[in-house]
Amino acid sequence: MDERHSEAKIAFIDRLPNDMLLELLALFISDKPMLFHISHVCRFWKGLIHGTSRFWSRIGLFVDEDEADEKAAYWINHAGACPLTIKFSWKRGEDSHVRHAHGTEDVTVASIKRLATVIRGCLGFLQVLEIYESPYLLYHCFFDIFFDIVRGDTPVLQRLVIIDDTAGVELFKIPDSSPTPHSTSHLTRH
Amino acid sequence: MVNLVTSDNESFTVEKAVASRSVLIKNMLEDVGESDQPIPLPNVTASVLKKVLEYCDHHKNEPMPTSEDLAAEDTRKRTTDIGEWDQKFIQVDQEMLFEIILAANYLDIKPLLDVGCKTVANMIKGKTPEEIRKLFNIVNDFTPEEEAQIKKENEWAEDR
Repeated sequence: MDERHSEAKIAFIDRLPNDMLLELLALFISDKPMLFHISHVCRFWKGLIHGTSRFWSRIGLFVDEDEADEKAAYWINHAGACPLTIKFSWKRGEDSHVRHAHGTEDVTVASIKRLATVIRGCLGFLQVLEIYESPYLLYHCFFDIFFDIVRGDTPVLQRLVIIDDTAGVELFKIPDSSPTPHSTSHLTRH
Repeated sequence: MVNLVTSDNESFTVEKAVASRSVLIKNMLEDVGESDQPIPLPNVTASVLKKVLEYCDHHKNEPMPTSEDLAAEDTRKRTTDIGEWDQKFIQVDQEMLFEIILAANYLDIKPLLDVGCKTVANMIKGKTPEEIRKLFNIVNDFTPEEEAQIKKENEWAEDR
């Protein structure tokens, strides 16, 4: 029996080879809470989960969270060279307006800048970027801040979309559905 | 008929259609042609093979999975639905469950492997790490430092 688990009671699941255990775990790792639940069972499972980049290639973030940049960096680091799908949304409501008051930046602005810096570092792997916008927010300010920093080559970018979260309407999309071809190889400010 | 010999030296004589549910055995039969020679299965015990053959016998008239089916494996894996007969068949103790999974993998019986894996997946679904440990007799071997990191990750686990 494997020594990493109880000697007193047999952990029959330990009999599975690593690749089979991983495939089995992949069956129900469909969301973030489950990913963490599974990786928190024991050190061995954690090693398996953390060593498998495909589990970390879909990143969902609340952009107005204080640790959004740290969380993004953690995910991107684990995703390795996997193409990334990143989804941004807002955690709070009306009280979390992004403000530029009297030339000073509030905490949210600073956190967006930190997050943008992290995202800029992974543009080479960015495949999909979805940004869910809330009508309560002064979104122009967010995009100014974000795309001032997030610029560069995006060789694998397939989709960039900004969605009105309440109405479910796409406000901006690359590639566009219009016949005019778009270049998605470089991210610039629009 | 085909004669199979297990690791604990028990012989099973089964219809070719039943044995051929295993891609491993099917390929062996094709390679050696018509022969009375027994087929050794050194990785499977008699108790497990008996159970596996019960599955193969029940499904012997179904079409074998095609390459298209296998290509769609990822899609199939996303659901954890199991047929009614298969659910009853797989109601075994944990030791047998994992032995069946291992045997299905060795014998290359993908639908049975699917049933086994989905059963384990259904057992784990919705459980906390502590409940999963208890279910499988897994020891929590995290250090206090790792536990602190886990606490932080739990705060991050909120899904969009």
